[in-house]
Amino acid sequence: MSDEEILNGAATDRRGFLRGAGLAAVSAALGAPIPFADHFPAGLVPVALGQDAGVPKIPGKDGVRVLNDRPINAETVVTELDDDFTPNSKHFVRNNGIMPDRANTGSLDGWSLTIDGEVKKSLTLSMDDLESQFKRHEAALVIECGGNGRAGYKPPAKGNQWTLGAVGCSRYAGVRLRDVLKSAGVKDSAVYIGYESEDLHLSRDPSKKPISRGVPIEKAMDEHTMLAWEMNGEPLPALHGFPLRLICPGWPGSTGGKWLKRIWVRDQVHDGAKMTGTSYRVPRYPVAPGTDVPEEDMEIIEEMPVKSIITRPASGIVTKLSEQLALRGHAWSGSGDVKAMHVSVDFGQTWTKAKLRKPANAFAWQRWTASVSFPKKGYYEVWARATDKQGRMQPMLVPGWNPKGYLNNAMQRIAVKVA
Amino acid sequence: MNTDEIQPEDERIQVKPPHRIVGFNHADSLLHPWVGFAIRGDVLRVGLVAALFLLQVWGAATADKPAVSKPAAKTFEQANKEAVKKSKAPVQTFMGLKQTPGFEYVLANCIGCHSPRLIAQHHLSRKRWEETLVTMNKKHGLWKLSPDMKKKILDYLAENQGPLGDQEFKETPWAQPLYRPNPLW
Repeated sequence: MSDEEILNGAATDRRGFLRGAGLAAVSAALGAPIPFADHFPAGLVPVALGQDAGVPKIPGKDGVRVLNDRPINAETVVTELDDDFTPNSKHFVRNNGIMPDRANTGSLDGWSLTIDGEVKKSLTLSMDDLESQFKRHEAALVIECGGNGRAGYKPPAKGNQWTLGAVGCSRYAGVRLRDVLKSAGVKDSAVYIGYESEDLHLSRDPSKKPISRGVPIEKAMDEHTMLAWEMNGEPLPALHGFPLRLICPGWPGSTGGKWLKRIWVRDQVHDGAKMTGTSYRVPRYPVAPGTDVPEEDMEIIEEMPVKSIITRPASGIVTKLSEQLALRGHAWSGSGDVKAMHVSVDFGQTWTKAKLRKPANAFAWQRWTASVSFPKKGYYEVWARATDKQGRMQPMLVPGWNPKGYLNNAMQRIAVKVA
Repeated sequence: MNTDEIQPEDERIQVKPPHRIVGFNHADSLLHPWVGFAIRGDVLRVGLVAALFLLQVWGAATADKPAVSKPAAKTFEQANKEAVKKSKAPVQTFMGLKQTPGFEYVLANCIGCHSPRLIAQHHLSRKRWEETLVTMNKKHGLWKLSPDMKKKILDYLAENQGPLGDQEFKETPWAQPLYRPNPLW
């Protein structure tokens, strides 16, 4: 198997391979039997193979920290998120399954998008159809994983332990989903949409889907919800859903399927993979950390909360008492825009208003900048806090614990030594 | 179409090893050495891998003897336990998982579909680990585990991937903010 196949998840063959031929292969290569072969547990990877080889890199990606290589999950180092628009090389990756071969080959052969279910006329659209029949739409959009910040929860929550970097704001081009849905004619019975994609479940069992989520029909018909085939002026990269992905701005990234092949208009809340159970759901009421919450008391996450990051300087900077410290970062919110940005250098006792730039468009992040000075030498923390247009602020503490560790929008803090 | 982003060549995970093992400089294949001989039948590599494997199994003390001359009284499990016990070196990790007793059962049952790194990221109570095994069986294609195997896996996970306490905080480099999000927790 090649490295490429590892990235693509084909190493799942490993299970069968190890159980069957693994030991025999080792013995054969050695030209001698392994004396205690009978005791060798089926499927074992010999310890000598267990040398940790360091952190894997994903070519084409830069400044990301790989959390998992099968499936691929990588977050951006927060200081690498400083660009106004996140380059493809730095955008985080959250895959749930095995990428389809098409993504790697870049071929559109046999690809189409189906729109069906509660529509007057089912559509099967090629990429040319999408490009020629509908008005092109371009927007810079924040995509943030619902579990961004999960690592902050105690007791720890299950799932990839994202810290700050499961977020990015890139420029996308494609069409509005509503234009396509209108062309199919949405019936009054439509309640929800569910997407289906070409990626495979990690077990390679074709009866299982790695992920199939969606949004209520109202969100699907929102003018900002789009089908994108371009990211920062390039065809959608393999890792980001070639050839087509859905983006539902302001909602968890998982609502926007990658490697899209079908939009299924439903007459009920979509019940695909990771729509039910505890996936992308939080308790309907606040719970004490560690509480067992019954599944029926979990509700689907919709809008993401207001949030910000500090991209300059890096935490741990040493600065001089005589100098002003320039700070900057981005702020965004699931409801569309951020009203104010503040910073504090005295553990939240006083707050200084930061400069906040207007977003490039709705649901793009906003650049903030500030400059602070310090009264005397010592250890400081810079805290940064965004407020959305409804007046909701980022909490100082990790907010409402939930079993799967979603929606942590606590303020980011950086450590500063003033010498 | 920008081929930089979609060529298979560009989509491979590469490995940047922090160290190299003497006599085994195929550093780029350490992450997944099985991969090499599974498809390509790289005999040299298989030989090296097999030799290393045998050396490790029989422990550092016997490493200079020809590996095949060692009598086979022990199960692999025992040999592994002893090797770990004898070793004064820090516990080695494999894709983030400690190579302590029981690690082999986790590898044998869990990494067919997902990476060990997914496990290594988690620090859960025994109860949550047990729930995770149930979910993996019900939803994600994990075969039914015998009660004995389930216990072995849970023993390993509870011991090595249990919740982190204050230790985590103490080990945090100062470059992270020193005040805890909530000092009461």
